[in-house]
Amino acid sequence: MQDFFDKSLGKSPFEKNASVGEKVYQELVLHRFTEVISQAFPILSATASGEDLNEAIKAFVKIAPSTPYIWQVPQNFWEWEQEKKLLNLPYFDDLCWYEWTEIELMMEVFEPLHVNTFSWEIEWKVDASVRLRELSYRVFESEFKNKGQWFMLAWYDRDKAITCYQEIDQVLYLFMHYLQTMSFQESLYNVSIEADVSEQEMQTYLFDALNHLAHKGVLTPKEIL
Amino acid sequence: MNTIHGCGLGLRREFLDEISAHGFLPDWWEITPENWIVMPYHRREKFELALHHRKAVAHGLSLSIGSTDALDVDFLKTLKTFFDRYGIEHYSEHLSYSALGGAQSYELLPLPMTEETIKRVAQKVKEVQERLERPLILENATYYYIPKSTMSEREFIGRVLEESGAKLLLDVNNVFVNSVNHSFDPYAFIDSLDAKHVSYIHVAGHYDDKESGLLIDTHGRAVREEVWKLLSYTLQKMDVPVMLERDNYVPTLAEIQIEYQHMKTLYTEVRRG
Repeated sequence: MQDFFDKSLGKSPFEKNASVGEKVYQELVLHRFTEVISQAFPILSATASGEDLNEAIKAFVKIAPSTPYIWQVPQNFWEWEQEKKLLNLPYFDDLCWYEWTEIELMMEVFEPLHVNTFSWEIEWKVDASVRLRELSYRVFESEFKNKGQWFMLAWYDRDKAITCYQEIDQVLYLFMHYLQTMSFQESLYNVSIEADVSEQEMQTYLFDALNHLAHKGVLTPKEIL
Repeated sequence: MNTIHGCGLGLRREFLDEISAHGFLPDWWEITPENWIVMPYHRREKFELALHHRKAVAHGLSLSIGSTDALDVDFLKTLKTFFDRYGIEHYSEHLSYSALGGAQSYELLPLPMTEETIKRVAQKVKEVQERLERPLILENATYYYIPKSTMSEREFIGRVLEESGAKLLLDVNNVFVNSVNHSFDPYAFIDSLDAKHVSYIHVAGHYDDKESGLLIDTHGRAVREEVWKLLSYTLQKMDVPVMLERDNYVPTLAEIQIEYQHMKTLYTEVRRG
């Protein structure tokens, strides 16, 4: 069984006299992996060289993931390719984050949302669905040539049942980043120090953005009001 | 399957938005637990609505019952929780393997049809049944290659059912595909089965792969006329529920309803004699 299993995964070659039926399993396994990876990463599939992607998936199949849930395979492929770099695409990691976040958030179950108007008087926390990422490529606009620094916020919109993305500035990114592990006041203090402004100035600067995020459910009160 | 009757349909996420109490509903649903255990937030309500209106049978993909690996106990616990939550009494899987040495192929691979395999599968069936507290039904799988075996498929299936006590999910399309690929008479195969071992029937489409010269069990096309004929013949031999599978190129619920109605008419006509 092991010998045939390895051949089906392409880990070892078929004998010259192997039957068509025996060989067809290698194609079926490869097709299964290619299908699920290309469905999860449609932009990657459209931008990477088809031949290179095919070769990378063929190599990935040989190490075969252990999860019984096939929908998780693209994430395994992303992690594996990050290390192997067979595709040699500088924007690979950014793009896979962008594409996988949509699936990851869609597949999670989040508590119902309590939307509120923002106020500095109460303690806020970052919603469990929020994902933050510093990007080196504008993958969210399918721009893969120019390297730079962009900041992206993603969250799950319960009402629309979609993953939302928003480009944010570095200050808001830092504030949200701190807020994921610190209190509201500590986050404000830290980001003010980094920006070299007073906390009051920072409050004024962040107010509109935080109010917007509170209405979107990205920020929620620590205690239900 | 005492509580399931008539004609079933595979519940696919593509159908969820079309399901309503006043619209078309099959007699029962078949669901793939691996696709619903981790449920997207927005799909849960619709999934629960579908199961509120009709009973469901679970048809798994990842159990890998024929593997020499030990059963994935965590996976079985997850399955049981899911089945208990949704009141799913019946669970079917494939008489094949898909994982070995902890690695997954996500493809149903052919088992060596030997005494050793029969013993292994029978022991694992019993363990699955004990852990899930419900019977396991095994499906005859397609195979494009026969690993080193000491008996025919028919004998192998019969012995596995006998040793394990499991019932058979008879996939009529698989019988047809295998009969063409391995040159045997599908009607004689059906004749050789003991109807009391059959729990329910699958019917699905397949693909004629000109390159390999094989029929491939894709579940991505409409059921072929030859398979409808074989189903009709089979239903005359056994009074069990039947279910339509479509896993790839899934059409809308309204579109698949046409094919479902064809199956239902055929089923009803046979039952009326």
